[in-house]
Amino acid sequence: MELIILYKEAKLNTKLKELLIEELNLVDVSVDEIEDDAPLFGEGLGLDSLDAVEIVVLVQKNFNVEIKNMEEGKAAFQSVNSLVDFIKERQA
Amino acid sequence: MKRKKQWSSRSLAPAFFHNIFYGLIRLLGRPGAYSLLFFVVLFYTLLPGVNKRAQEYIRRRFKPQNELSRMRHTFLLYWNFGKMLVDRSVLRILGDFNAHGPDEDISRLQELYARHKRLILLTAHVGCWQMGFSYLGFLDAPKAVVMLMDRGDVDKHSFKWKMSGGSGKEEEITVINPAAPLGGTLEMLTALRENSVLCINGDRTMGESRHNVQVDFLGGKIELPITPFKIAATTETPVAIVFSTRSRTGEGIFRVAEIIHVPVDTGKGAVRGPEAFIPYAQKFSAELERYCQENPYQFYNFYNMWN
Repeated sequence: MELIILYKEAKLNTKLKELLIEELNLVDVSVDEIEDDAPLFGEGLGLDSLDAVEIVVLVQKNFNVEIKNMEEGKAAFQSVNSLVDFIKERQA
Repeated sequence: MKRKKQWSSRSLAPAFFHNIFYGLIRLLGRPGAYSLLFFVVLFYTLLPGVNKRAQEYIRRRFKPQNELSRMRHTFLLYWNFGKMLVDRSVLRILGDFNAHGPDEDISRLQELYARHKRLILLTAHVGCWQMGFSYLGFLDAPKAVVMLMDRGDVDKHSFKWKMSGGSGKEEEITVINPAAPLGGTLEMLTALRENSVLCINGDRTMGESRHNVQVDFLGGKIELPITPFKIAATTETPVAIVFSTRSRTGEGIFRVAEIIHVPVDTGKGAVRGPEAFIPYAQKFSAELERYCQENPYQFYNFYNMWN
């Protein structure tokens, strides 16, 4: 059972990374190069405020989950893992 | 890389001087404040450090022939700006300002909002831009404005205004601070999701320079932000370029210059990244230039935009 959950999480992480690369035009980055715990903004992946707009929209479009304000965004935008956690929590 | 900010929302004068103006408005109304304003503007016109701020615009817009004409343009520019600030305070203190506009523009904006259930009004620091919002009562929608509020701001802004374009009721306007984390972009998205009319100034850059593009303006190149166009594309929201003009004492005209629809996939096709938004930023710049030709003393960006 735990293995199935871990597999599903890994798939969601990969799906999210693929969407980030596609939607944010991260042309020189591959899925393997994005670390699950690395910060999305600033150091780490180096995303910025306009990328945040894209992430909010892609999360809503692909996972039907809304990130409404900075308070929610602050928690969700920490890393790929935190974004996945946020999506799972809202979908539950 | 962060671009060095060349302007500030902070007032030149300390709070004490603002309070003198507010007191005069309460005691003598607008004429009293205008009388003092004349001497204040004259002082600033003669103050090299202050009048220097407007010189690049004056050089490009008026091509002054000599020092006297340069000083005249500087005085008139600051005089109009000062009168706008007094009128803004009069609106806050006495509730007196009459904004109006052509019926056809009202219909255009109403139809646009009815169709999309959200709208971006892209404007600039010109005319009576803040008071122009008091005209938006004809749009039955929540309203939000993106505006920098520096810690040192002593000039009072009021965003609870008696709307002059429709119901005449008082309305609260939400202020979104672009200096907030992530440039206030999430709050802008939320406002649009909640069917708001979102007012953004498109003539000043903030934050990361990779969000800016170069466009033509008054014979040179300036940088403009792509944020309004990016948000418009992402949320499929139409952009109405609107400008207000201070037509006379206590009165302003609000006009729609152009409507822009930014395709949702802009920046993801053959032209990727910020460059894809240049045509839209250039359109805004062209409308702004047209405005400066028609209203030369109502342009309030007091720094060298071409630098």
